[in-house]
Amino acid sequence: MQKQGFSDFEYIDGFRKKDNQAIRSFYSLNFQSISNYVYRTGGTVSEAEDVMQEGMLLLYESVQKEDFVLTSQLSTYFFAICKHIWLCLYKDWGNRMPANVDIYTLPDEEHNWIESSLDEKRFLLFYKCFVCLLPQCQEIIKMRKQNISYADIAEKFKLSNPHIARNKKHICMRNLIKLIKSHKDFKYLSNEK
Amino acid sequence: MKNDNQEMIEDFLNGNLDGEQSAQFQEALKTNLVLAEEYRIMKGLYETLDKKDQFDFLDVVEQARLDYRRQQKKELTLIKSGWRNARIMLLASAALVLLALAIFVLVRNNEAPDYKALFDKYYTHYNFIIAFRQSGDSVSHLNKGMQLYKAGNYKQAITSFLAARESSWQITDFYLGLCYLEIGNYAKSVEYLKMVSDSSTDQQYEARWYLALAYLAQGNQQETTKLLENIVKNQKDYFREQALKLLSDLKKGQK
Repeated sequence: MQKQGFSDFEYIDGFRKKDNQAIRSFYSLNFQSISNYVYRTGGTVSEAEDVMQEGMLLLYESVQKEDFVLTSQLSTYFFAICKHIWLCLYKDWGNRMPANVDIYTLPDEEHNWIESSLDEKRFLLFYKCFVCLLPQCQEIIKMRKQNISYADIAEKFKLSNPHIARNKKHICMRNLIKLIKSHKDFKYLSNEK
Repeated sequence: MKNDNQEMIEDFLNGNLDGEQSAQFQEALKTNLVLAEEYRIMKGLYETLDKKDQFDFLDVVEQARLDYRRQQKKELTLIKSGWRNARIMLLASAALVLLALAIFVLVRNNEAPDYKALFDKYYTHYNFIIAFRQSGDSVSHLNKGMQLYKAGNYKQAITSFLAARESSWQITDFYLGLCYLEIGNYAKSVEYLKMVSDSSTDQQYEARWYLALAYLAQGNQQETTKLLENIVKNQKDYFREQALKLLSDLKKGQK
């Protein structure tokens, strides 16, 4: 039976253990408020999902640290993280700034915020594109990264010969690169050092 | 992306190239911009895959996102189906109201005129009394019947008229018809008045008019109308004007 309510401590513990139930509950509990905020300030549901994902990754990385201390309610803290992520996006894509966003609420660069590094942003971009591939494609690319031979890949996926496995991998990679290059963040992230 | 490039990048990233091959590849990266971009992308991908911990966490988040979407979709479907049901209910209610309205209008249009009211409007007591000077029992009964009729004792008048009828006095049939009309026995009234109206007695016009009223009281609109139309056709009939009015009222009552 699915657990309905979690305390902040249980959520943090769930994040640390990558507990499915806690993460799902956290997502459904917080998505509406993040989505409302993003929508109110000119964003879309898909952008709200991106913000949510980045926010959860940042929270995940934060709670792994031994010195992590929660000084407010977890949902308040998480909302602040997401708001910061969203307003940073506005700052980066200044031309999309909606009229109803108070510029004084934009994040201060000197402010000691937990913030995604460019590496983390790149990681998110690659992750988002990678999970768009078919599961078999994902698996083949992962196997090749582990230096597993095409012959073994062919055997695992019951392909008639290694040549077919190799062709399959090329097609998967071609699709992935196409996805990455066409992503809205790709140009911005590849220009940043 | 050329497959050869892909293989070369992959071999380089996986450390499968020897020193010389590796140096050649790095040289190529400086001059071949396409290769350099592909290399950056694949390197980024490999770095992403290296972050297994975060990668696995995002997998769980992705599942949570998909679950949430599914849940939202389900709720939306429920809301939509709720709206659809509500809409169906609303349409059904509207259809029922319309149907009820249509039935009401139809019934109202087809509703028979109020025959009783029309009868009351047009019926007048026939007070022309005849006194017969002949002698004999039948005349005596007839005169007695007339007196009783005049006095409003219709039941007793009927007894007298029936007694007088034995002598084939046709006028008794007319008064019998009137008496039965007065006491509300319309079938009997029709029976007697019909015999008079079909004859050529002095009371045939009166008989036809009161027969029409007897039919009206019975609610037999077809016979009433038929009879009234006959009265109207006859210019000499002194009930013609009333017959016209009654016909008009009957038609109005049908609308």
